[in-house]
Amino acid sequence: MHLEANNIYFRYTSKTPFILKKVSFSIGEGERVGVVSPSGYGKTTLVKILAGYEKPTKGEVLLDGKPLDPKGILPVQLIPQHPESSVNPRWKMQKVLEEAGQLRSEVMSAMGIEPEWLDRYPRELSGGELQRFCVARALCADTRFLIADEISTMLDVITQAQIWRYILSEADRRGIGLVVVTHNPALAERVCARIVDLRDINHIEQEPK
Amino acid sequence: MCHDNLPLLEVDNLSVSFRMYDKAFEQRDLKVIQDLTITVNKGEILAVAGSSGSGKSLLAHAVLGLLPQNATVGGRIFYKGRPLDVENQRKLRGSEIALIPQSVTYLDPLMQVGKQARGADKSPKRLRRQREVFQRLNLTRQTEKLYPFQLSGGMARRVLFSTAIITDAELVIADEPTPGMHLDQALEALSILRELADKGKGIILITHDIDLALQFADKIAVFYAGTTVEELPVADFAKGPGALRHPYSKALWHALPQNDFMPIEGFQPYAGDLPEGCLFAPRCPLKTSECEAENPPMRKLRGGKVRCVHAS
Repeated sequence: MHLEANNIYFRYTSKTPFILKKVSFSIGEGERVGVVSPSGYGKTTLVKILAGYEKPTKGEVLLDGKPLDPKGILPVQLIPQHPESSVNPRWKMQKVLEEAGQLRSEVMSAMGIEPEWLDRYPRELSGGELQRFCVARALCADTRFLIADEISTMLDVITQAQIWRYILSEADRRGIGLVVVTHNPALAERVCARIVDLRDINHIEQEPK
Repeated sequence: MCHDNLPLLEVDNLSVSFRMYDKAFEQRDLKVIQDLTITVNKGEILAVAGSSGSGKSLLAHAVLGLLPQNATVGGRIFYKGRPLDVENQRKLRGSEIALIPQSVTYLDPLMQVGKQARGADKSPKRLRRQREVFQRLNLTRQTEKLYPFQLSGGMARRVLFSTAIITDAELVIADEPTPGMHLDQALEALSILRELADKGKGIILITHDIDLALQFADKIAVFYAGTTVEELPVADFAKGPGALRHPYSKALWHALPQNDFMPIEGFQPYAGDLPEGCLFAPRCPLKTSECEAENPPMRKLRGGKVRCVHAS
């Protein structure tokens, strides 16, 4: 499988400046690509567009040459930067895992999810605990591309290493392509085979805020 | 009034538990912090590192009196030598003690960020200070007028960061202020904290970016499962595992991507199901029968403190 974004433009309204301009990006099966740049260059916006959370103002995202299918489980899954605002606050954690078909003991033990947590609401878990659920549900059976947007900043370094080792082994086993957004140069070097700097591919003129 | 030789903040044997419902009407207390002791002096940055869910944010919230109603707090907290009770907390928070919260959801979604950063103080002096801080954090004039949803993750972090340092607080508790910030900006933010400390203020810097903390902090407290396992001068961490005292601190060092990226096995015990004896024992390579008897007290060792019978 192949995921590509062609000549993407994005802005929130016609009055605000472009956040992305003429951005092209592509990733193949099992590839590991790091996306770096100072904040405000549109990293999160780009990955939201890749995962179908935002529609580009101009340009297209193609999965194997076809536009993303809005129905069913999208093979491109995003692990968001802020888990606390991306889990349904009215669902217990059990339901969050069930929805993705990931309520399995091998997933839970690999991610270090305690059975007691399943009975809690998102606000009763710490950011790091919640992030494990977000990783687990994003690694559901249909995932072909996994986008990790700064997923490990709120995790302690041991948990970070554990989760990354699990993601990398799953990605290897299932041929999942990885897009890794990070500010940590040491982590990018460890995890990625190729690194893309948005300053080189995003053609916005003015200095971002 | 305060004396200069008194520590700014002293947390002594703090414990925090939550009252939870078990079955139907049965309640039980879930102890999430125990025997936690830290000291922050004026002019000092104390970095707090450790496991996610080890009670780092709870410590911040306990000091500020922001814990939810079902929480019970034990132990003692002193601010400038005086006990920090509910009334004092209400008086001091936001003015003398400021918090940089962990989550960007703490921003009011319906208020322009410049206004939020200034807070209730409408004076021109506050406005000047806000613009100065925004400028240093690389936030443009236009940013003031934006709403939180229009900000990138890193920008939202910088706005949160500015809200606390705009005040003239004596003690700033920064709860993971840097994730999402680009390296240069994180360095700038932390150097602002360093400047505040150099002016005689006290800073608690809760962080997972140990390598960044190393460049700015004076000492590190390592947390595990709701307690402190080691307190050490910052230079020891840079020297590597040989200079560290507690096996958990060594495990942290080995897990860093720039070192080995090698995690130890297992997970931090759940608060409702803590092991007898040393809390780290189930994952510890040095474990002996002695460790399972009781949780060892903190003891002084090589210019730091450690909670381990085997450390030397």
